[in-house]
Amino acid sequence: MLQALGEIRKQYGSVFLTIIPDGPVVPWQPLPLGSYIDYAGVSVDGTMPAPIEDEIFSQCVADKTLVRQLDYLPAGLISTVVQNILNHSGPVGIDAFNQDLEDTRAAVNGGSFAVIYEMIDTILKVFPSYTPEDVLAMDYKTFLNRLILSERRLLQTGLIKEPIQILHKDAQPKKKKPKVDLKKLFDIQQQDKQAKVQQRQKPVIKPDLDELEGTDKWWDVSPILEAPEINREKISFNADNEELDATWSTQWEKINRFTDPEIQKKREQMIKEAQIHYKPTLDALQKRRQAAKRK
Amino acid sequence: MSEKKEPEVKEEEQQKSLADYLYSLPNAPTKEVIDQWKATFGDVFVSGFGEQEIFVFRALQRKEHREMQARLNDPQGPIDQFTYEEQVCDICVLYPPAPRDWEKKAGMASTLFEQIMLNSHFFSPQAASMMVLKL
Repeated sequence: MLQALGEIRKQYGSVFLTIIPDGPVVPWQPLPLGSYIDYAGVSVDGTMPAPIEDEIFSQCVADKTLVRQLDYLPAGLISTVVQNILNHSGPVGIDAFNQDLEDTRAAVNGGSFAVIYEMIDTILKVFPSYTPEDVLAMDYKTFLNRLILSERRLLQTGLIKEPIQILHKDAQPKKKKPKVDLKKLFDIQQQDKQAKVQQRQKPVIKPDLDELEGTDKWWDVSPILEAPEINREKISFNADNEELDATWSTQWEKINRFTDPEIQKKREQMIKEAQIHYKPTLDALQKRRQAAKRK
Repeated sequence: MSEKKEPEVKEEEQQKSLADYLYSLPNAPTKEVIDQWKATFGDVFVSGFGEQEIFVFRALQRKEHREMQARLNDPQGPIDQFTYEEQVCDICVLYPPAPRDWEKKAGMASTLFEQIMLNSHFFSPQAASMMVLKL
């Protein structure tokens, strides 16, 4: 059997074989992807018409003696071989396609020759005129030559920093000496930590000190509270509504805001609360003024 | 004494092959005729449904299969599946000679058709995929 397979390989090269039990051995090559797409579109309910099967058989089978005797071969032989050809020429279904992708991914990325595929990729990146088929057709010496040329160009452009070297699977990468002074790095980290802690303690509100510095007051000026006493009596909240009922009038025009005890109480409460809330801002302003005086 | 004879008779009956039953039938093909069929058609097969119901057949050829497929899908008057099976049997059965009565037993033609197709190398997709080897 092995001898027969060796003979077939000698005669036809690297091919697929359909080995029929107690029947012939049919060597064949898969269809190109474009042809596969064309033929796959012809099938009706998964069945290929007999003339199309004959066409695929004639195109793909390496043993032309069988192709010449096609009409007199067992009918199912052609159908079986064509079925195998189509299965190996393109995806059979979504799950099968995903499995094929997974298998190829494992072979290219993780197989024994994954490193060679990586080198092929390197050559293709540096020499885009090469195709994968061109690189795979190179002999070993030419391949190494092109790889070293690629390495040189990558080193010159700074895309790689060291010459290409293959590491053993279990080898650990060499530890490089640190370039940064560790003590300095530690001090910088400590300073950053302290700055973060101080930031957290500060209140969220950050008033613009420049704006506040020109004013004596730290709350918005109230036209009612800050108006001089002479003008305060002229303010009439009911001016526009003279015809309103007495119950609707505000009565504010009759009240002196600076002598009315209720209003005074509320005003003092408001000032106390504002002083607590704006204490950091007031302290900052105070410090600034003192610093300015010293200068 | 008689008890010893009965097992011997049974053993003789078990040793009788399908070919032996074939040759015992009237107008059965001789070995020379069978060799001639082999030279013409390649492999020749024998199938037995009973002692008197034995068929000799060959594989369906590709060109015959194409013609039958065309008849099955003829837009002007396609044949039905049962007729298709009977016609395939008529093409491939070498013995008994035509005409053959497929009406006698309902499953005769269908079963024989399946055997013909199997020996004509029609396999299921799963079986076909097991036959592939990459050199």
